[in-house]
Amino acid sequence: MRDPLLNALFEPDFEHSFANGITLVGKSMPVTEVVAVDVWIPTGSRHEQPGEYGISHFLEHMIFKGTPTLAPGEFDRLIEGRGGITNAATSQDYTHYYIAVAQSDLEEVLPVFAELILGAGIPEGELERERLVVLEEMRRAADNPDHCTYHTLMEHLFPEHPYSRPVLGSMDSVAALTAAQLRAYHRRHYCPSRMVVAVAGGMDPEAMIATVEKSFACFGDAEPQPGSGVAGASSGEDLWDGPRLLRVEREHPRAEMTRLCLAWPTVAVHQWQDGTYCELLAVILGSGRVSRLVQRLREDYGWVRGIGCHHHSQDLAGYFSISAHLHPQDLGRVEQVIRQEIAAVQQEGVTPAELARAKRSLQRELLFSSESPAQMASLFGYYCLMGSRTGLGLAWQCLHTATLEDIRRVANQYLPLDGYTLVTLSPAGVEAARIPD
Amino acid sequence: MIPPWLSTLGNGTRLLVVHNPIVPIMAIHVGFGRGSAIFPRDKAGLGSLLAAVLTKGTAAHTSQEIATLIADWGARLSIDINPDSTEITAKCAEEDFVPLLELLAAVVQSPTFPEAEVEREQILLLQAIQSRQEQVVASLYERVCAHLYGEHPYAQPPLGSVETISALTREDLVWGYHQLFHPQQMVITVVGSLTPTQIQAELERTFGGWDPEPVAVAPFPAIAPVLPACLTVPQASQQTTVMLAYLGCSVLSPDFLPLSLLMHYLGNGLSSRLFQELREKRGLAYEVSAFLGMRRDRAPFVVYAGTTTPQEALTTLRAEMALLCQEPLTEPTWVSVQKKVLGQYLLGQQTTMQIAQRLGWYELIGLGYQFAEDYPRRLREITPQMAWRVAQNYLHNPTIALAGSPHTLAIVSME
Repeated sequence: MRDPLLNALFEPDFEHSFANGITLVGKSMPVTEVVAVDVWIPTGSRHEQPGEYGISHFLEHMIFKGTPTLAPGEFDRLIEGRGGITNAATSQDYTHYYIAVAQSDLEEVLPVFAELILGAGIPEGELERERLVVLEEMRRAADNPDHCTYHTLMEHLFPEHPYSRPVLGSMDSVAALTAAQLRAYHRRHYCPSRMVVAVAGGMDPEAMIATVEKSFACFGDAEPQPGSGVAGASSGEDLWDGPRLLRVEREHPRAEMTRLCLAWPTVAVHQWQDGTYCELLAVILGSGRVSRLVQRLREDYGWVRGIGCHHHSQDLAGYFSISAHLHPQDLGRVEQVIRQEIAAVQQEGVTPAELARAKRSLQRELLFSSESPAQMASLFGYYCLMGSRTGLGLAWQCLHTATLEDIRRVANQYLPLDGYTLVTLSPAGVEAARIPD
Repeated sequence: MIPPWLSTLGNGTRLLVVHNPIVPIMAIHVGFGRGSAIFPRDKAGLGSLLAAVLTKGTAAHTSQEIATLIADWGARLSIDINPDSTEITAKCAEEDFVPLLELLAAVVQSPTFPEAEVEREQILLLQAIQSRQEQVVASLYERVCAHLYGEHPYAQPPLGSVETISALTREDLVWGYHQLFHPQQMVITVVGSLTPTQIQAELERTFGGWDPEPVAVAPFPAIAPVLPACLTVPQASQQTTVMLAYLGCSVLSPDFLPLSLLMHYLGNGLSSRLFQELREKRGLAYEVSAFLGMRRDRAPFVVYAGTTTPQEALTTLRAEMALLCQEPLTEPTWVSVQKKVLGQYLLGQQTTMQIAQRLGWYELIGLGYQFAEDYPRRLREITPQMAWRVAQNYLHNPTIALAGSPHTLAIVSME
């Protein structure tokens, strides 16, 4: 692999700060005519106060309803009428808005995009209609067994913490939100001084800076910023007080097969090193046919229809999860095998071949994503918002330097067998088999 | 996009190459112009089982050896057996291209379908069929296809049924493999950093000598038009999915582009007509969309929404579809739809794999790889009047399908 070339791929070309505090990270990709712009705002469900639950996500919907000078739907027509695409997403930690357009259209589209995000009007009538849409989105989520499994997991993995709350809020909380609340929340959180704009694609750095400046520089913070303003802030370490084993059983009327999910809280996103090691461990345990759990549970025994491991990075604390689709009568023995495989890694470590393979898998994943401006803008924007523009590069370096001992250490440190949260979600009326406590 | 370079291997396989020296990535698309639609009704799902077992052993590799090689290269490999085509896609770093090609050649030319792997995947496929009920839109769409296509193979559910999958044997897989996999049906498309000359030499070495006996397949029955129906699927859910389905046209028909533009007008993106009318103006749904299949024979045209107000959603959907047949869209509306579709077409060919899949599929379905280059010009030639005529021909008398709680279904009037 041509390392110097690849190292350069995962560093942004430049970082630039504007007078109003907006941070711009940019990556020039001369081969494409497409430019992707991803605007990151550090507000999500974890920043919400009681009485505001679901407001970040509702606001994300309302952003597309225009401003005093931009009618609802006008931006959608402007960008899609030029063959571009736009969308947005809200999580616990952040909200982001993105567009991908032909480079020649950016100059026209970007000022309107900036106006849409920073000048939101939140009109009353539109709010009432959009509330119906958000409630439909919540019912759709409630009908989905995988969504319900995830939500149940977060609720119990991070008890008493803002991460335990659903990003969408509850039916009651969303029903009670007012336009005035949304406007105040927008003023408080959509501050240029805390925003990151990530640009990637077929444009040179000078042009990127000039275009973003023209579009975003005219906006300032509506209110002075009192630090990070995190509600219920806590560091990763005090999220849980020692290992505990928690089992949560749920039923779902739409589920045809049972879901099993085991999870452990891990490290905050800025702990790049351990985060990367956890990702490597996830690949070794449960990604692809040669991984330990897929090999044994799907390929050898046929006890699961599918199984996978993931390390999810989050601002305050990430988590490591193992999820499977299976028959309820196999729950006990599948959990037993998962425990055996984790114990084996904790005691004997992984093989050099496994580690090399996992490294290559993650390296190739990054290499493949480097073809798409949208993926690059998203990666750079996320890492920059989370506090390090070089985070991606650091993660890339950690991939090279990880040792067998590193993997064994994180397996012991973060995946204790006497302390995990286990969620099962079964078809209604099914008796689940458990291993004896 | 750089125009592809076309040649033919010694055994008649068509080869398309696009040289893209910028990133050291290789994308490979191995396509065959036959798919699961050639299988008889009592073998529905054979394509899915075949796809699952194909990489589970070759004359030279065990299942685990194949998986280990792929993982060692950090490569991606996937197999799709669609109604009209069989497609193997792979992506790797440049340095792994030659060994990956050798493995692909073994998978395509000498799969062994080990008995134990067949049985394992058969059981897991039965579980997948059971889980399919959880996917409301997908399972409702299958119900609709079963109605629209009657005796035609497009009526078959892609995963098959419990009965058909349970009855399949290893011999069926071997038979099915010989029906689908043959150099005469094969198009290999490679997009990446190596030169066309290097690529052709490697392909000639790995695939050029493969020359099995050709197998003739029976022609499909014609699609017999059916009367529109009202279908209901009771389920335990908060939302009701409302779907209107029409028999559209073949991707090879001159009506395809006008019909496709109408589909994008209705259901693609935030500015689309149904999104605006159902979601933005009325708050009836979160998910609202339109879909037109790309098939060699007539494909389904579908619009749908997930809602808790199914009566109003159904009425609005029907009114919108009726409007399309009443009069042509205005010129400015039409121009903006054309621009949207064209722009997104270009956005859809950013990666090596997107380019390989697009070119390869056009070539094996019968449109010809040149279609990729012609597409913008052809798109601009479609007028609102042409689309209006096509709407009148295809978008009337829908089959209506609803999935929701028994209580809700009982009170919705489909008249």
